[in-house]
Amino acid sequence: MKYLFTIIFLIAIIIPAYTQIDSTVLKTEEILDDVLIETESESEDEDLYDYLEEIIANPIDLNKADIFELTKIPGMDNVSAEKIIKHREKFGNFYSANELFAIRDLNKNLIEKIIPFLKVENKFDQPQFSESDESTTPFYSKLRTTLRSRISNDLQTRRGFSNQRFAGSKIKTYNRLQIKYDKNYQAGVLIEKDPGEVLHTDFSSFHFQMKDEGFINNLIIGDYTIELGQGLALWGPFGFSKGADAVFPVKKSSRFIKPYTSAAEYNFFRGAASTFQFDGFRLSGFYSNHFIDASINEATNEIISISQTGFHRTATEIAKKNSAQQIFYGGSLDYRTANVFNIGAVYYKVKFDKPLEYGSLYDVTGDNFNYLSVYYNLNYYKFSLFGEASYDLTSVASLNGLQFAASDNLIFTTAIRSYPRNYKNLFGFGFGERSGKTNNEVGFYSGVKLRTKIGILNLYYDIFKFPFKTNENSLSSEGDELLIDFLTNLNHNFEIKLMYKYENKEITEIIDNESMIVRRLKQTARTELIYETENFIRLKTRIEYNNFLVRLADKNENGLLIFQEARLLLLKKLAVYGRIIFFHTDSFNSAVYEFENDLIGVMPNLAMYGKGIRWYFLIRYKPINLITISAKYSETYKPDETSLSSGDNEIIGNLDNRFSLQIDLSF
Amino acid sequence: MKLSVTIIIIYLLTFSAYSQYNPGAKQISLSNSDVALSNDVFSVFNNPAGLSQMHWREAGIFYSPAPFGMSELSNGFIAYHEPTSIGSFSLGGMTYGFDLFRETRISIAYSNNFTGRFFIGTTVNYQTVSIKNYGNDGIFYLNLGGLAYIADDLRLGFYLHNINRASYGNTENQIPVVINAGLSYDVIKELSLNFSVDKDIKYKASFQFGINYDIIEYVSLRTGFSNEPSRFSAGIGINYLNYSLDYAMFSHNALGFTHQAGIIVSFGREDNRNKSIRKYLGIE
Repeated sequence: MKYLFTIIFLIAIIIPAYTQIDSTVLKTEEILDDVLIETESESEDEDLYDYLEEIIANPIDLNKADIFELTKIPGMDNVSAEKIIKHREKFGNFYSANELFAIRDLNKNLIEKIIPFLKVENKFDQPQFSESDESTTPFYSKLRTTLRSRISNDLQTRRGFSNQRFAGSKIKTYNRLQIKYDKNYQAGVLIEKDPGEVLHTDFSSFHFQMKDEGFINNLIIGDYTIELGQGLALWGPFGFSKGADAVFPVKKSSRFIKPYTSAAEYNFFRGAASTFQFDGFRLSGFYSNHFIDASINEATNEIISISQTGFHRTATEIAKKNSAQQIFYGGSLDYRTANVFNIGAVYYKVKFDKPLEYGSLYDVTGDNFNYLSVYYNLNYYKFSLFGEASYDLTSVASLNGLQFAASDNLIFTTAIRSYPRNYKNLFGFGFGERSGKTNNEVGFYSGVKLRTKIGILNLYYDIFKFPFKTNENSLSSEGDELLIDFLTNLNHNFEIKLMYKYENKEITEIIDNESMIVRRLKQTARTELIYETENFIRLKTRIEYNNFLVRLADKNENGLLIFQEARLLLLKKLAVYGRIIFFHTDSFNSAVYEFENDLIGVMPNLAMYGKGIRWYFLIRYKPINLITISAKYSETYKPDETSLSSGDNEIIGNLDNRFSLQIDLSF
Repeated sequence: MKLSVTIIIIYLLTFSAYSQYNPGAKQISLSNSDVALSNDVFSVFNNPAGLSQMHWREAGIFYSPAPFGMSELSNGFIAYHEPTSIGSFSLGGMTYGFDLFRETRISIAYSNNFTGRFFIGTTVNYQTVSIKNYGNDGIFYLNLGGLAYIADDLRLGFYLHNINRASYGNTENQIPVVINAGLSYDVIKELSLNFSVDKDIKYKASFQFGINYDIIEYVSLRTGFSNEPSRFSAGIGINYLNYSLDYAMFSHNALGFTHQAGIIVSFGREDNRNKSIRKYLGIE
């Protein structure tokens, strides 16, 4: 395998071809780079990518969108959105998204970033169907089918397989079929199998959607998610949290009811949902009834915990599968006047067939939960006010925020969040330190985004407190976090990114055989150099250093990561990625996290710790318009270790490698 | 006797792991911070991408008689560079050790220039080791490098050493696996600042810094330092016609100074090194 890499690299160097490539995937990756920052938890989920892919696949119509629509685009702020709308009102409809460059006081850098999310539907360019035409147009010409099929396989054997605790095979499979008819109808099926699971249909999902038929704005039968307001009561499986953009992630832009297209295996509804629209009013109703994974206390027939992993590999995990029934229903009413004001309310009820056991942590108990929530968003002058308050018949969780554009180049945001310890969050995903938990947290966030002649500065400061005990600490705890991110273009093909993050948090340490809550300080500094020649090669060098300090426990650890990445666009529609990462950290505490490129639709965030290297090689090839093939080989190697990972995932040896392959068909 | 031989062999193995002592004399006097400079024939052992900055033929020889005061560690390198219309080809050879332990290496490098400002190169190395009364082994390993002119006076470079993680026999990590990335900035045409980070898979990262100053047409002064292991380096180069004679020394905390020297002959170069490269790349 090592030699394969060598050979491919040689071939890649020798073929000096300059061509252009389908840019959607590349754009998605670059935007993700801008908005996100590696969080301190490993993940390999697809929700994030799914989110962006969906908004790129369904671009916003520049001639119809209001402020609420435009601010869904990552990196977009209120004031820039307003400028676009003002321009449209003054000069009439846009003929092309590139016309945005004519708006003088709109930031050029921003325009480049938002163009992939926009479209202009020009009536004159559309083929006009008369009555007779329509009858002769074959039915299938409006049909668009996309199929995504993926397999991935660890080449090493993990402990769960060697001791036969896992029931199924090592391979991971994923298959998704989506059919769209015209603009109004969509149906989709998804099946997925994780490594160690028996059936290729271990998880399956289905949806049918109809849009804009009469006064029915949206109707979904099958699996769906709901996003409303600021996400305190209802949100899908993915939400942005604190990141490299200090302003954008704070205010959520909801997408209402959406088909569920991810394989995260939790936090979705199965049933039916519909939205009706009358002028500015939108009335929605939803019902869901399905079985969820939970561990059950056999003696009392109570739910101990709800499982979110989606794994059904071992006997224990298989026993959890579909062991509890969840019924969910409710409705919402939303009103908006174009560009200025949006207000809404939602009520829903959740019922389980078994009561939740009295948990020592959050005292979520009972089998019956009710939520009533009110949200608002007001855009006025240079201000945008937004917020939500959600009541679960015990306590009220709330978030209120302000966005203020002091000038064209300075945007300021602040938000106060209060999620009581006894707020029983089931489907919310509120902005916060523990992303999505929406429980037991009080916090105050401020962020500034400053566009200067020499670059873009993002800065945020967040103070938070967990008033009640958490999983990590047995008493209340608190902390604060500061991030400074600076991006500068030395010239049009060279970019420097500098980042510094300071994170002060309380953790539990055992000192002299006694558990104590102590201060933990983690500081991270990162330099990134990006060099790009026109559509041919992009080089990225990152050097990241972090320090993990717990003074009272005498822990002072360092971590370092260096990577070199190259992206080559070769021949017609062939993209080749390679990255080699060297890391050296004192322990897992000082682990350095890195997002990496993967098959289309996947974006893993991996923790690098210990001493070693990781490299990967990724190819995306689009021989004809119908088909895209992607393949990735990755390898982590730690010279001084005798085993990697732990538990059922443990690998004997110092090498962890994986091969994955994906085919995307679209016709 | 046996014991002392064993000790020397252990030393040799650890020494060979320190890739930052790569030739030639200029590189060493800059504490090997020159990844983004790489403008002479010895780049074949460092960042091969830099080779195609030179549109002339060049040959070099380098010798370090007694590193750390031990003649058993002596090492010598030769290198040759041939520019062609389809890119630059280079050859290199190394010998290291003494009669009981010897390593030799042959390197072939290819480097090319894309869009005039971006260079990429790769080196294929064949390295053999022979330990008397014990045995021999030979392996192939690959280096890869890149160099970009971000601006007329600022360069970005990187190289990867042994990316296929080759090693002798069944023991792992006998050949260092290293990433090195850095910048080089010309403060004025005659003075360049070089900075790089070097990370060997097995050792702590080393930060390297070096200054090259062409004080007059004929004389270059160089100095540098690095940490992990900490060292200070300095050197002088005499450039006369198409010959460069370079001397370098560096310090080691416990083992004192090491001295080395090299000669480079350039064929068909009209101006001095920097001027010729600038002219060739169209930089004023």
